[in-house]
Amino acid sequence: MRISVFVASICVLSLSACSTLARYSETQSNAARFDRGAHAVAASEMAFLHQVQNAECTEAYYKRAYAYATDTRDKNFDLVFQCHPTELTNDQLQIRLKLLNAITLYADSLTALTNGSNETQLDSNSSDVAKNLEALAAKEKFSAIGTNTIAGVNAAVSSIAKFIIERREEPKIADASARLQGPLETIVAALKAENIDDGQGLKSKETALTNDFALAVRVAHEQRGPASLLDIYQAHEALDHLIVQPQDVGQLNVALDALVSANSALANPKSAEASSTISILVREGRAAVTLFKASK
Amino acid sequence: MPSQTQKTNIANAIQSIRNAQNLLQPLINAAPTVSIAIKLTNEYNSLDTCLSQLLHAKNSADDGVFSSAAGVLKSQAGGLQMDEKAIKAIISDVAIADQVVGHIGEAIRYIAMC
Repeated sequence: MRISVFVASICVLSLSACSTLARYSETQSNAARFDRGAHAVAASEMAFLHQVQNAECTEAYYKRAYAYATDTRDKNFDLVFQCHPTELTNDQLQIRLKLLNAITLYADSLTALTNGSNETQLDSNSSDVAKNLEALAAKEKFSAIGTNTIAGVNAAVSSIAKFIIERREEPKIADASARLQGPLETIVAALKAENIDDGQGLKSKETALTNDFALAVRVAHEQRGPASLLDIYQAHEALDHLIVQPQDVGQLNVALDALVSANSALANPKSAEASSTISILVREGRAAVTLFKASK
Repeated sequence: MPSQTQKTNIANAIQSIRNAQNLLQPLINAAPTVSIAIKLTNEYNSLDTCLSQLLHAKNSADDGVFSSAAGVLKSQAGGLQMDEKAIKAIISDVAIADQVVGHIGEAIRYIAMC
């Protein structure tokens, strides 16, 4: 009798330990996938912002070329053109890079919490970056990001930076993600709004560049007749090489939305959809990365 | 740096400029002569330049940069008014010309509020 009670107790304890381990492992897996998704979204967003700069420089060059080609009084054209983006300057790009750093450091910190990571070098590096973010937020350097409906990006960055610095004081990943859901939503909403406006700019540039080449093809056709087929080929090749496809913005914003939903899932790990919601982030992030790697 | 109201005005001006461009585009494609196509393309490009400046102003995180960008935008409102006149002279379809000019007028009003 005593032996059977002992065996039964061992079984109950083992099952309980297994269940706890399984839950722990699931939390680890969710945090790791969230981290991977967050990095993918941040990389895509950064690639997009670089595209905004590239599109401006390409268009600025061909705008000058078009003006030269259509004005016969103009005798000089400088083939070597040093571009200094004004639409999204390098300084403005750096501010956005730091905002994306806040998101990826936050995701890294969540993973470190679930791993019980004790990497002091990593801690020190992320803490330094977070302190820099806090200082920038205090100077309201993130205020330019967002629109009327989105306020408090500085406060949102500050909250996330504080968590990164003091994350050991909030060891439960669900509590941390629940508390930072609002700040993350604020940052994502600001980025999405900006992406839409930048997408408008890209669309305008795409059409402007196409118009310039279309005009050249039209004149070539009038002057060269059937031989203008070669001009059409060249124009097509050039546009294919030069144009930045603005439709990518939609996928980028879908991935950003998935990031917010996945964070909410981390805050509610017992919900039935938690794991699948985080899988959606991984999928959409991967799709965004593929699009932006494939595009110019 | 831009206030929330200024950012909204900039976003609205961006949309108005895009609306005007979207109306101009089919006219460029269907322009009966190269000369008209060039004139309309010039107008499109002029609006695109204004759009770039709006985006620059919107992205400014610095007071000095924003006030300078907003100043440039306001000083170029006169240029947009010239565009309005030019477009009326180029586009033979009065109804479409009025729509394009209407959108540019909206953009000018939003820019004035920046």
